Amino acid sequence: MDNLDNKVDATAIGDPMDKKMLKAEKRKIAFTTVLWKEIKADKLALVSLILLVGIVLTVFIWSMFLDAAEVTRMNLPMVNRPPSQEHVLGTDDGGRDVLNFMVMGARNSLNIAFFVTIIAASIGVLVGITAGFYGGRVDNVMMRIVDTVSMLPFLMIIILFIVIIPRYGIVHFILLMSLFGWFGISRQVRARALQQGRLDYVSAAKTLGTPNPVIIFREVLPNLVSILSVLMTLNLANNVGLEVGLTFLGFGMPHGTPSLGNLIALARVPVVMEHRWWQWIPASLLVLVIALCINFVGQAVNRAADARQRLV
Amino acid sequence: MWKTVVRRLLILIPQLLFISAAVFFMSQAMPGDALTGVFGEMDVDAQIIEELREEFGLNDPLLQQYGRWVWGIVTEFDFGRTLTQGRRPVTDLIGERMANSVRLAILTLIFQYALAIPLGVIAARRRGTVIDKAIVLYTFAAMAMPTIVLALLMLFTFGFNLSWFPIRGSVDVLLETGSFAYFISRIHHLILPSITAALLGTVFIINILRSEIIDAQNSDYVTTARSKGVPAGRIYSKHILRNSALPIVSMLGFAVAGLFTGSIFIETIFSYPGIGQLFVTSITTRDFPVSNALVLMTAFLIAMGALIGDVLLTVVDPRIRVR
Repeated sequence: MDNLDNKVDATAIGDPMDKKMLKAEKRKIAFTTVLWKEIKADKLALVSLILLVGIVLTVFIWSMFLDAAEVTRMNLPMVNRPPSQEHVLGTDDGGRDVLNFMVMGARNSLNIAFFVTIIAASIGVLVGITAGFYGGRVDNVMMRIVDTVSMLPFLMIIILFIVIIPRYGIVHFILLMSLFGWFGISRQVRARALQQGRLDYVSAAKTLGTPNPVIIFREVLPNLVSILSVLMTLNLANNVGLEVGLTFLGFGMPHGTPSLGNLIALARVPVVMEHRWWQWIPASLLVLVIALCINFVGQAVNRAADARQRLV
Repeated sequence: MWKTVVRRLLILIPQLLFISAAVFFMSQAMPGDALTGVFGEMDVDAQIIEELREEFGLNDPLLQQYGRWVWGIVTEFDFGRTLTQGRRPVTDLIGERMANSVRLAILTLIFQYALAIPLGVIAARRRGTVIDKAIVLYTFAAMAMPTIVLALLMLFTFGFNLSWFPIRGSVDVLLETGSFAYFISRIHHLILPSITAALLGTVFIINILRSEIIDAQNSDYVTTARSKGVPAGRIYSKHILRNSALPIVSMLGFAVAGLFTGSIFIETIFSYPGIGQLFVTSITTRDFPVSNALVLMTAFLIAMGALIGDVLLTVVDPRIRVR
């Protein structure tokens, strides 16, 4: 066994830079190409991707032409008007144009979901990769803590926090959601890192005297890209839903701030739900389409990342 | 195994202490205390309120108040009194709502398994066909679907537009308690929320069942059964399903915990007076003795659910060792 280990290390030392670059180069091409092939093979994923890109571009470009103050300003004579030529989707309980409010709201909601996903994934990767790479006691302690914390009823705790923070805005909301959104990712990353940490290229780098943090971020992290992209796409879809849910309950985006959740929350009033469909149904359908599209693309990413499930 | 169970229960103690401390000190940051709202709009002398505060120990150091709260829970199962709703004991209020949540959860579980098990088996047996693809598509859609959106659309379609089901509440209050019509009205109120929850809850069961059955199709014991001439239907019902159901059994632990914790989104949308809705009301009315008790209870139940799930798994499959 000793002998074997030495031999492996020796070859790895042989030409580490070349070998590593080759490997990195190969993987980089492989994953994006495989991903594209996978999406092309799956008509549903392809349509979803096109639709998603279309929605995102429309929402972001359109809202660039909108004035936030204009969109959120109350216009009392125009309260609760049904769709007309002037207001394609009618007006809401404050006389605001629903279509413009929805476009701006969609941009805010997508931004929130995006940042929450990024921040939560960063925390998850940091925790998971550290625990998995070092293993042993570090792993034991860290994962025990993660297990404990992830058993908390986090929806309730987020709500509790939101009530306590005196003047909270979008930033607080994003940070809170991220704070409770990284457990799943950290577990998966840890499992991968645990396995990667035992591979030859890591021992090789260690033998060369590369500091551990450098190994973690330069050598191990790139090998986790595929699993991370899967987890992050699926999380993104969930986070869109979570923002809508929390805002609906009244514990998300402040009232009057453009957000899909705030439009849907109008349906809490039975009269709105029954008679003013234009105020909440378009936003609900938009959330639905966005969440479904992200998920269908995510399934293709998942197959691309896992060779056993690939269609092509 | 008993050693493990005892150890897991012991770990639970610091865990619960931590959560209880967290919610207690967080709720102290909320405006209002145990005397707010008692006098309503009445004009009461500030001196008297101050004396009452002293009497109830509200001027004691926070740590002492926390200790008293925990002590009350441990020794007398006393979570304090509500700040609104007529200062009733918190446990009474929770117990009342819990019955509603349990009813909802049981019906949800029934729908969930009644839907998921056949779908999982069919998808696996007809793997690759249109039916399988449709079922897999459904699981993807259900996974991404935000609970709020589905619940609202269901309520709008079947509650408001078609008027098949009542749109709010848990029972028709005009009916006589205990009568047959009362019972039917309860079920009628439960159907829409529980179907909505079940539609979203099937994903995990279907996915696991499908992949487990597909794995099992190529295993030795299935080949043996086939070569003996056991009919295909029997192989699935008697041989494969028993083995493939293992992971589902472990989920029962969480299902049991879910019985008592309720669903915040579903209960709010369908205005169903259960635990989830109680939590939302208690937070919006700043009734923190209730919300604290609910967070603590939910955390405890989730932990117990995980433990029960692990124990169940070892009971069903002795090869699995819980560590």
